[in-house]
Amino acid sequence: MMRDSEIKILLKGYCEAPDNMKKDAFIRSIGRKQQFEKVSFVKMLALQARYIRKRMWIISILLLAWAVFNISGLESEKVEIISKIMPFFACFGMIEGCRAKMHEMSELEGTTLFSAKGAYFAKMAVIAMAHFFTIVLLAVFTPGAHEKGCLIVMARLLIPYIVTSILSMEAERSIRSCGKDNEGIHIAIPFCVALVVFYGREVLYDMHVTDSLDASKVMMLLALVLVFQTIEVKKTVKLEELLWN
Amino acid sequence: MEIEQYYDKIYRYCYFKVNNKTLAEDLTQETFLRFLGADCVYPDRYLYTIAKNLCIDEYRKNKPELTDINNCEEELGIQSGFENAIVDKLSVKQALDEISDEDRELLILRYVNDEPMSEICKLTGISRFAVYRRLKDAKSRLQVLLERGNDERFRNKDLAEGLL
Repeated sequence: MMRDSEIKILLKGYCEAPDNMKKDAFIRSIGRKQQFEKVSFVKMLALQARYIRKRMWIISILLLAWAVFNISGLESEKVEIISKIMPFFACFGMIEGCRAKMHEMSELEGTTLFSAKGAYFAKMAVIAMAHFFTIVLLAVFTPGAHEKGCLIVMARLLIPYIVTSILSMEAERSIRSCGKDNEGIHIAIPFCVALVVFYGREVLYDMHVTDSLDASKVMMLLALVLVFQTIEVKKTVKLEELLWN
Repeated sequence: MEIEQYYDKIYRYCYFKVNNKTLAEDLTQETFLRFLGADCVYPDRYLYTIAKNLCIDEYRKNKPELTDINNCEEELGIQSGFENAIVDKLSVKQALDEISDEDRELLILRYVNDEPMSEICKLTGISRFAVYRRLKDAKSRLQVLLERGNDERFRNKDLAEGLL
């Protein structure tokens, strides 16, 4: 009885190879046609999510687990301690999103169906959504959250995260606008984290939410950082478009 | 979708159906043009279906003739290494022509396109056990036909040498 490998060799040898020039020309023309097909936002996110390294998620989970399980007995300070972990979440998210630029792959990414800007923001959106979901869960399940108010707890966790990402985006944009795409991003972003963790504590972490006035201060601060975040995102979009064109 | 990856598979599939390189290329490209824009979960199955239907349409337009390997051998004359390769190809073609369409399709999918058994089951719509059994039968039938073709070739060669 003939072996499978022998049959394969026999049958594959029988088949004439296609004309490579004709094949390449056809594939290129098909590729151009596919570029005009619209890709939905959800599909875009799903495509870019594949490129986020697993280590990013593993580190986020480990950080979170460390924060949640290592502070037993400190019920009243749990929210403050967990909020101090948020800048590190933002840090890993930013580094992961900037990975293409750090390794000078932006141009290569830009030659695919999506713009480099689209791919960058899609990755950031995936990471931000995952972290936001985590923050919502923390806000609901952190002990003492129901007394303080889930919304306030969520705001206190979100604020350091958003502040870190604002500073990181500003730093990353400043470095890129100097013409140095990859130098210093991996230093600038952790520096922003350190700024927020060590110097932001008085503003961000020492607010007491038992007083109703402080709760409104927290929400106002959240609204303010969201506005700044939107401005930063718009500036980054404009820079990406400038570089792309 | 990796067009290049599917292009080669569909091309080989069409080639074995129509036995003509140019025609197989045209049918392959027609398959992809018809596939474009279709939003389907299983592109490979859809591609094979389109290719199969196009080959059937082509077959109905131009019914191919069975190759008579004995006539080809006489035309080839004294056998050399290169001509041996041609004769091998003709033996394979003759053998493939004599097995049924379903068996030929299974052989192409499994041994030429390296499709996994699960995929073949979904493409052909038959159970895993049935695919396995039919592949085994197709393989042994192909082997018998190839050996018969070789025996006839050697007999003709001996006859030709005897005449000389």
